[in-house]
Amino acid sequence: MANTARDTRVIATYNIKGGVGKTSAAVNLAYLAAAAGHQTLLWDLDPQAASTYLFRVRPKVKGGGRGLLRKRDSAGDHIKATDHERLELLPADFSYRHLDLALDQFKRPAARLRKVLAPLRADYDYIFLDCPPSISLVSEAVFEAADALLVPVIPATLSSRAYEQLEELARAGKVGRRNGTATLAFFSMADVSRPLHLQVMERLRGIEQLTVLGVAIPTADEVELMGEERNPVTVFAPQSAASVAYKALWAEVERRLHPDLQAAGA
Amino acid sequence: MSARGELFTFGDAAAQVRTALPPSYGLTHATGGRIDLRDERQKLVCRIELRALPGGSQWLTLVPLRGYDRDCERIRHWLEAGGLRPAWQWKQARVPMAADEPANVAAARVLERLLEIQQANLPGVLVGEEPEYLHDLRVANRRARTVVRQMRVALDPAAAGRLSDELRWLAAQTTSTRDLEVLLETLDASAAQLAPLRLLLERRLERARAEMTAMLRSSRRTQLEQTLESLLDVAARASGAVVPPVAVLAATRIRRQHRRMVRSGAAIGPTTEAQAYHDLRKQGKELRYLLELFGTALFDTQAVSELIATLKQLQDVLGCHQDCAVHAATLRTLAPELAASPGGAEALLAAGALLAGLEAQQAAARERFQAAFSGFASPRARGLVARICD
Ligand SMILES: Nc1ncnc2c1ncn2[C@@H]1O[C@H](COP(=O)(O)OP(=O)(O)OP(=O)(O)O)[C@@H](O)[C@H]1O
Ligand SMILES: [Mg+2]
Repeated sequence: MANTARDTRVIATYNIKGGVGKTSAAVNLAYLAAAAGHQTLLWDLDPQAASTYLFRVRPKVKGGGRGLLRKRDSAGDHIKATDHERLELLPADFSYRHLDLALDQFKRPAARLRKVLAPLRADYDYIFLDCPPSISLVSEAVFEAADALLVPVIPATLSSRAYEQLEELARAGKVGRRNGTATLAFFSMADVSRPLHLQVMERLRGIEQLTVLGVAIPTADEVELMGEERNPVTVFAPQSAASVAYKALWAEVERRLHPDLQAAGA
Repeated sequence: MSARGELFTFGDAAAQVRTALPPSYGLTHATGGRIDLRDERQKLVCRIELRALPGGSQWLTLVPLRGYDRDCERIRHWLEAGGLRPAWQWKQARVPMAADEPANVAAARVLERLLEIQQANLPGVLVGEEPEYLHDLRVANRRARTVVRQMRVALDPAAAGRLSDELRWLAAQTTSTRDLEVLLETLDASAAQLAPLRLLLERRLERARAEMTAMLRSSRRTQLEQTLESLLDVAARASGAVVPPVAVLAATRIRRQHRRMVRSGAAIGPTTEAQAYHDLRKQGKELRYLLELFGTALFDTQAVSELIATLKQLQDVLGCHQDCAVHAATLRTLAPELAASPGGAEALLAAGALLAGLEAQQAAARERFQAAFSGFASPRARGLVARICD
């Protein structure tokens, strides 16, 4: 395929809350995208470097986050191959904890990530951004760079505060500085045998401004085991419920991002 | 890079890789003769493509994963330290020698190595898929003949003569195949008008290769290894007379060969027959081999490599001249057959243009000859020869 013909989609796994399954989703979905034949990049923006660790890559970017942002077409120099065909990683670095400050040096901080990603669009069909749990200049920049925000939501305890934030997020997506930034929520670590979970899920699906995907990722040991296996679930437990769920989730996300393709395929 | 690979071994490549790497590294065999290498974090950093070749050698090519070039270089370093040899050593005919050892002994050692290289390339030539084998075989063969001729006085004359004959016979079986392969390589593959010519050449090549293969499978060839070995044994037993030390003989030969070339080259003018250029080139090859096989080991290395560089400039011009002549001659013999083939008229025109191009190239080579030759015959080059030989 000619590079210029690529119709790249940037997908950020995002939630202001920590430990909700952002990294697990980013790693598994990116793997599935690549396995399906797409050139895929995952940028680990979290100084904790969880997805970098899961792909066995050293969490080190020469020159740090600042250096990476400064030179507009240098991101490619830091990319590492993962052990999986077509899947590459832009690793995290401890200096990312000051990414806000680094962004703030630019005239339009929120536009910076998009600019840094621009030259990479020629090489990838999908670019995943695994975000740290915070609301900051970094997340603003992520919103502006992404075509879709993928928001894992644990249906267990939805504090009213988090609920408001979700609504806000949904509105931001709708109004969005850039046209068509989709906010797609999905249930993570869901347990449909628990009434509370079902209740919360129902309530959230009722919010008009919020798109909640149909597929939920169940709580599963295999997802936890990723830390030991240091591989996407599908690699070491392809038949597991978690693997099946991630596959279904990816199919749904891809459909949302490429409605045209689906029409053509039908 | 060699078409065979970057590193080679005659041993068990996978086992050697295993022992060459730190124990913390992981090594897994993937399909298609590939080895995956994982570092101490169990991260895949490099793949090794493995090829077993006829002749018993195994060849390795390191393929770094993106972002892991430096890791891959470290691995290459370990592998070389662990006994896997870099591809260039494959062609490395140089052997150690002492200045004062008898010339026949040193020459025999060089010849032994050259015959080994020649022998190792034979199976690959028979497979016929990569031109590199044939090229390497022919170079080793030519070098061996040079050693026999130049070191003649130190060798048993009868055995040396037969050794040369056998070597020449082997080379002769391969000449047309090689010439056609080179000509085909120089043809522009994308030019549609050349397609009929290409086809014709490919068919000729096929025929030449079939003939060559038959000869290389003949009993004369299968006995050749033994024949050469025993001849070498006898030849190296010395000529009976007092054998000079290798440094003395090599210096004499280098000086004489240089002088001979200066004389032949001076006689060449713009209208001289192509044959004279060709003869000078052959002399140049002999000088080059003397310098490479004996000069580097025995004399002022700096002076030797400078002289080789000067010589190489001359040889490039002569090589261009000669290649054009050979290709043009082949094209001319093809003309009638080409004209009769489908699309022949156009192909003939294209071949004509090609021929004109070759002639122009040859003329250009003649124009460059004086400059290249005067460098080689210059006082500075003479000074180098003196530094080497005195
Ligand atoms: N579906 C699941 N079933 C069981 N455990 C899960 C599931 N999803 C995530 N986990 C576990 O929960 C923890 C947090 O998951 P993950 O790292 O994916 O979340 P995160 O939102 O990226 O966290 P952070 O905010 O720290 O970056 C991990 O230990 C992970 O193994
Ligand atoms: Mg995370």
